[in-house]
Amino acid sequence: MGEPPWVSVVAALQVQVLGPLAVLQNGEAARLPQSKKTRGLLAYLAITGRAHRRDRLCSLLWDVADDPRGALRWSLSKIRPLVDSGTKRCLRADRETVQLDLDDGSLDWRSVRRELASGVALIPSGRLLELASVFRGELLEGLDLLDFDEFTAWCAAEREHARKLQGQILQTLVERLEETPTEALPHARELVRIDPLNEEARARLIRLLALAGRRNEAQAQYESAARMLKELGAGPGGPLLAAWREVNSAAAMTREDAAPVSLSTPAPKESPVLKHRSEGLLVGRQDERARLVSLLDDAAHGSLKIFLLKGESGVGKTRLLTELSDQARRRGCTVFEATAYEAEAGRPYGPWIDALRRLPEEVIANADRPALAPLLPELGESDADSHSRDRLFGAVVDVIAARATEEEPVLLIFDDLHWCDDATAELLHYVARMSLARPVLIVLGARDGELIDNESAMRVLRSFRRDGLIDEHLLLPLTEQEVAVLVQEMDSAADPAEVFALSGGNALLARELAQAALRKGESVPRSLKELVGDRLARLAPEAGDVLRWSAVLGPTFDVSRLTELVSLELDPLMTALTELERHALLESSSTATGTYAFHHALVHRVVYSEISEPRRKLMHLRIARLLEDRNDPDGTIALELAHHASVGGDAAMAARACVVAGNRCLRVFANAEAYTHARRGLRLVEELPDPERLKLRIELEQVSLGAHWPKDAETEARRIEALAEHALDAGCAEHARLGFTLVSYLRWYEGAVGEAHRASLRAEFASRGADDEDRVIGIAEAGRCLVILERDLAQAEALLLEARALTERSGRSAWAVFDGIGLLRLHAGALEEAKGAFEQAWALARKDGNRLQEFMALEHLVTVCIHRREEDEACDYARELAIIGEKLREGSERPLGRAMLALCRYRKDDVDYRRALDDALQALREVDAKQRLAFALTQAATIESERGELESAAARAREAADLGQVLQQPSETALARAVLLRIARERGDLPAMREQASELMKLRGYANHVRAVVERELAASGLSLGSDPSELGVQ
Amino acid sequence: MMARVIVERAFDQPASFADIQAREDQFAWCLEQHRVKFIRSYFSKDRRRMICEYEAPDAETVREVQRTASMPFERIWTAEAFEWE
Repeated sequence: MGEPPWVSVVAALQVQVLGPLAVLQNGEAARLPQSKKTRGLLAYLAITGRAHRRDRLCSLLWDVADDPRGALRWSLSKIRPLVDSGTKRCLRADRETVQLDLDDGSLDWRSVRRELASGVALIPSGRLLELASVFRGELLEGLDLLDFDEFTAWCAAEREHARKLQGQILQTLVERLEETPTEALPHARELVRIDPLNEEARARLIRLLALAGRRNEAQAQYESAARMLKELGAGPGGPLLAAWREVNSAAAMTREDAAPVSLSTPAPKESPVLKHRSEGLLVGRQDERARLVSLLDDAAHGSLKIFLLKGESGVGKTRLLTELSDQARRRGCTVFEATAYEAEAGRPYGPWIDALRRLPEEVIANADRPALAPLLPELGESDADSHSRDRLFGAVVDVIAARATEEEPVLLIFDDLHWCDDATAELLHYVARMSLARPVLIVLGARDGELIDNESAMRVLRSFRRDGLIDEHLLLPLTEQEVAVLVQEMDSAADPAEVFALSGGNALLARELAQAALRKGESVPRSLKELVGDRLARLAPEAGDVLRWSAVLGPTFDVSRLTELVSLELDPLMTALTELERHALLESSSTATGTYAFHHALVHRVVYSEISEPRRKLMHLRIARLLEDRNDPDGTIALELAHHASVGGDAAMAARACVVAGNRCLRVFANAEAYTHARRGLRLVEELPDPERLKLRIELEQVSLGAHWPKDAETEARRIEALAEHALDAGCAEHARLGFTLVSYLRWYEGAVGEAHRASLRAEFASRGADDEDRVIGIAEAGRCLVILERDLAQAEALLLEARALTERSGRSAWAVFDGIGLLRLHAGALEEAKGAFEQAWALARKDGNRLQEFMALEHLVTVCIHRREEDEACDYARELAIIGEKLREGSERPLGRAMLALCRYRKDDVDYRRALDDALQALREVDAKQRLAFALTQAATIESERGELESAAARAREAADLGQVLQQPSETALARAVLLRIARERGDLPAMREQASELMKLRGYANHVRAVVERELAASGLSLGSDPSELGVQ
Repeated sequence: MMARVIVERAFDQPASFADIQAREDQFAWCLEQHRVKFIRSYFSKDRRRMICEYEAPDAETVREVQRTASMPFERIWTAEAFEWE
């Protein structure tokens, strides 16, 4: 049967559910919506592949109280951009039904089901390997919606189905690859991971590990399974126990190139031969190797040497001992080699039995066989005389003594001494005592932190220490350089720095990390999880609980947090921490009091990942709530709170904490961190309902702007303005106001958003106690007021935007809004827009019959037309202005109307109007209307300077400049000085030019249309803004 | 170079100084922005006439503020004070 052609067409749209949900568009991962329900909906539609009624989907994922149909629409709006392209609409929704059509796309789960439909046996191995790699984890990993029973039940069924099919693929692969254990191992491990109670799978894994020379791991697997089965009320049954016995028996056999084993008994019927004793690679440890070899040399001088090699699990003790053993054998030494096992702590003399059994036949040949028979039944029966402990001990000593020569000293290696039984310890002590004057080297390996738990071993060691017989050495983790060598030697693609960081230099962890093919999305190789998990299983329950809370707190944590979380009194907590330190799982900080850290980042990661997700969430949430209850005026714990609340699933709390943390960072000028908090918070708020979402979004935008000025300020301004409008719709007036303030700062300030903090809400004062209409007018007048004074224009814009939004909603226009916006646009130099706004203001004032407002609107229209040099139109408006001015009895309106009309006609070259202008100007002086006077004077000076009437022009401009200064209005001052500069230039008066140019350079905050005039005059004088006026005229 | 500006007010009905003050307080921000500083007021015994004295850049500024605050006034003018030595 020929093999089907395997793929290679990659669909434009790929949906992946075998692992965490992912959507790829043209091979690139798309950003999924934050909302879990939206992702759940997407997954449900993709996997079911058929049309569903809307009400069905609503009941699947939403509560009745949450406006499910609205929420469904919203979710669909988030899904559509992910799955639809310009030409193809995959998401089909009408009023009744919704369907996701992936016929032209791909869904990994669907592909796997189709291929396995006719059974796994017919699929070639190559394809099976590809299918196995499609599984990136559990189906829809991490997507749990436990509050929704129907969805949860559906998801559980799909997961079970996926697990079953994955199991079939893996089982078939393991069977087919049995002859090559290293290739089969990853699949065997994965099979055990997805089906931990499958004894057959576990047994197969143990055998494969043993074949691959990983006995320790095999043991760990056995013990883990035995524990699990015990918890379920069963013991290790047939397949598991049989596999373990096989492995144990095989371990008693020597290597393939050593002398054939003759003492194995009774030989198991199926016994895989142990082919390798070590992993082969030994990095670093030159000092230790040299020391051990020198000890062997010293022992050859005829006296006992005892050496204890201590260190944490996986640091490399066994590898060193193996290296020593190999060296000793090459020298022709007799090596007694054994390891104690935790599982066999109840097996008396276990290590001695193993060691004796490993010896060549000729070594035992001349021994006292009846005396040894209690240990080695295969040597025959023991008689009544020989059946005594003393004879047994004596026989063992004799065996050793017979082989110990100066040329070839005897080497006794006992590894994992912390697990040895009483009997072994006693015999060891006896042998040492009887070998003091013999060329014997005893090397012991033990986990430092666990020795203390073995009283028998401790008793022996104390005796050795007392008698000065023992040297001890603590084996430290590998250095970063050594880890890099290890990674390189293994030809691994892993990043050496990351391997070192994660493993902390622990050789076993580093090796496993370098070796493991890390799956996408998996941060810890499964084999390592088992290794670390095994260590954790040895802990007392209290210590385990403390360790889990510590993991949730983080890789480093304050112990005071722990005291609030674990239900332990202080003493038991300290005991638990001590135990964890002893087991090299935690260490206390030498620099920060009360701070602990995980000894290895990897251990932290494993402990954390072993906590089920729902439980993790609850733990994070508990921590978040504890932190939230604390008084935090400076926001120092906000960062921590944001993390825990976010992982704990409380998006609102997390987002609020992001605001606090972000503001705190801004206060200390940590802008990058502030920006990160803001962006994180903005992602979180999307899960929240309005109005909370809107309020928090605006607060987070404020932090974001404070930290990072956007490239396109106008686009951001429009976006935030829309947000502010929504906030207003939702009744969040204060946040709407803040939003408008942010908009205004985007338009008016280049990065000085810090100003927004101090800006008082002036409109609030203006509208206190007022009804809605008065309130809007109050806000608008406040904005208009600021524009007229050319002060705080950003705040002015914010107020006017708010007022405009309010009036649009109420349907009632306010004159102050139009006029104020017109003035704002005029200041910005947007003369066309300004004119439009003033015309609206004029129309409204006429409609309302408000002459004063009509006058002001017309005044501004004349101003705009003058600046645009629209002389005819200016005259028309000025005529209207003058008519209304005559009707306003009090104030400066009448003289201003006359002055404006006179100016417009004066500009059109009607010199008769100069007298009328002078009279009007005088009247303006008498009513003390400085700003209007200054404007009229400057315009008159401009006209006269253009006509060469420099004397008159200069006098008028000087007066205008002085008035502008009194009023502190930069625009009036700048215009007047620009005219004075021109006059000075016309006169050729360099000092006067320098003086005026210098004064102009000092001015700030004037309107943009005035800026154009200033720049023009400076350019005509050979200068520009920013140049040095003192250089004017210098050749 | 601030001006002394006089505001004349007249009321059809007797007015309460507290009410006038409250209204002006509501627009205190506006006065502050325009640099208009209240000096004193003279209130007639029948409570129908009032003269308020301010210090301000000019009379037009006070007019602008009074209009914004919708405060009633008859006349506003800049004064020069003469005092006996």
